[in-house]
Amino acid sequence: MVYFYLGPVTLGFLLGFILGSRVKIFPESKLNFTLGSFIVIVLAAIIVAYLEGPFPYYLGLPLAPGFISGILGIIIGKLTLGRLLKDENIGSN
Amino acid sequence: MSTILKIFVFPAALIVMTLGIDTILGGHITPGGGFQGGAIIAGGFIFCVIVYGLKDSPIKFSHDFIARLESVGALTYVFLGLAGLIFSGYYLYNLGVDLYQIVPPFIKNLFDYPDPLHAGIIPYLNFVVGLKVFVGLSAVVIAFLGFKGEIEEEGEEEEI
Repeated sequence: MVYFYLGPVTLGFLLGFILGSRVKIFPESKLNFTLGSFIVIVLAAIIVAYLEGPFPYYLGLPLAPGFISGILGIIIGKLTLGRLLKDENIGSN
Repeated sequence: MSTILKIFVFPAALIVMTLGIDTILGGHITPGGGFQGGAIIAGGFIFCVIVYGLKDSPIKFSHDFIARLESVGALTYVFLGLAGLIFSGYYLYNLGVDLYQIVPPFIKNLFDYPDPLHAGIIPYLNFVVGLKVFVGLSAVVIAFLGFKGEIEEEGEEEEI
C-alpha cells in the first residue's frame, strides 16, 4: 500500500523551490553544468534518499519523502525562476 | 581553486542543501530541526561561495532575497504564536494537537500537520526557523567575503 504524506512533501518542495530559484549559472563564470549534470544530481539524490530511508512511523516507500520533494523543488525552481533574464548580468541580483 | 573542486562542489552543495531540507522536516521526529537544517543549508551555500567566489557562485542570495526570507520567517513565527494566543489564550499553544481540548475542531484541523504523528504547529515552527537560520548564516558569510574583497581592492590601490 502506498502512503502519501502531504506535510513533508509540500514543505520540502516549497523549501527546495525557494533554493532552486536562486540557482543561476552565469555564462561569464565558465561553469558548464548541462541538463545531464542535473539528471545525475537527481539520481544521486534518489540514492541518498534510499540510504537515508523514511522517518520513523512513515510507511510506504523506502525513500526519505522530504529529500525527494526537496530535490524536485530545487530542479523545478531552477527551471522556472532560476533562468537568466536577457539583460541580467553578474552584478544584478 | 582546482578544477576537481569546481566540478564536484556545485552538485555536492545541492545534495547537502537537500539534506538540510530533510533535517528541517524531520525535526519533530528525529534529531535535528529548524536551526540544524538551516545551518546545513547555509553550509551548502558557503561551500559554493568559497570555491567559486562570491561573484561566480552558481547559487546567489541577493540582499532583497535575504531580507524577505528573514522577515517571512520571523513574522510567521510570531503569527503562529499569536494564533495560539487568540484561539486558546496561550502564546504559541500547539493548536494542531490541542492537548487541553480547548479549541474548536476546525481550528485543530487547520493547524494540523499531515503526517503520521500529527505534530501540530511544531513542523511549521521548524520550517520558519530554518528559513531564518539559513539566510542569516549565509548573510554573515556574504558580508565577510564582501569585506575581504573590499580590503583586497584597497590593498591593490595602495600598492599602485
